[in-house]
Amino acid sequence: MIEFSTVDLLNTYDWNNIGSWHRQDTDFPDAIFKSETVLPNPRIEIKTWFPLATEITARFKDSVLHFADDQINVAMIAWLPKFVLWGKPVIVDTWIGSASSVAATRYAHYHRPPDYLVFEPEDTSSRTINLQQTNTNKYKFQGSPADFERAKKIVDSWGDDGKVYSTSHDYQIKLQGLLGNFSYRLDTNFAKMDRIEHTSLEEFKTSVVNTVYRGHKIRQWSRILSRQDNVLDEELLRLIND
Amino acid sequence: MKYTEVLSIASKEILLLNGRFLPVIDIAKPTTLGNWQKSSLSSRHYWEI
Repeated sequence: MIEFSTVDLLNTYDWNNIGSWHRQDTDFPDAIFKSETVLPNPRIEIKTWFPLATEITARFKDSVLHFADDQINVAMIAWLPKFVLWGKPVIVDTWIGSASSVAATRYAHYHRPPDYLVFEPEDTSSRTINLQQTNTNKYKFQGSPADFERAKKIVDSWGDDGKVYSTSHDYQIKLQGLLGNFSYRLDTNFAKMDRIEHTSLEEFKTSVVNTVYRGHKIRQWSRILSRQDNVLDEELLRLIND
Repeated sequence: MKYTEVLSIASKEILLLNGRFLPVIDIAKPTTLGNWQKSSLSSRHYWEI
């Protein structure tokens, strides 16, 4: 719902009739600026973050191949209810970064051959748009220590850049070779934005949890709500009685 | 206007949203602390709207 609301807010800006923002309900990314003249159409993927949760649950799996022109940004919108526990959502802080920078950080963080492998999606461009795949996948090595040493030698043979992620067909074929010859499992807990260690996003996270909101830093509210703090019920009751 | 300019303006507009209310939902005020603790809202993993 925040995505819809954000698109509405973007359309309050005067775009001089060159186009308008639209929500893409199931497609990537969430918002697209539809225009006949502004090409490629700019787009924004909108992620939301409730900073009292244990981590940012939003994921970013999309392949960098879908934003090669740097025409997509990612927005992270942190929100809380007005009275912490209840009330209308209030935007506490926002972050914007290029989708390509987020993807590059993700590749660098997760791709550690032969232990962890990241794969581009298959070429599904001939399928109808709802069946096209845009997500990368990650696999974890599951073989024996001896197999791991064999796999490591294969990766070493790829040269100095062999561990650096590439979307090239040749590199993806090499990764497929590892996947075919050794035991791997699909890692579904992949690409959480909280864990990719994007420098600017990390700074944003730190800033948000240290923001004072209704008398306490957000990180303090988190402790209060998870009952790790002595203030506890008095503070919660104050919110309810506010 | 180039696509980079549109993206830049839109990004700045989003950064200006700080402090804005989102007219999407209005989370109900719990009547008692016990009610809130029993509600799904106290399970902090599920706070996504």
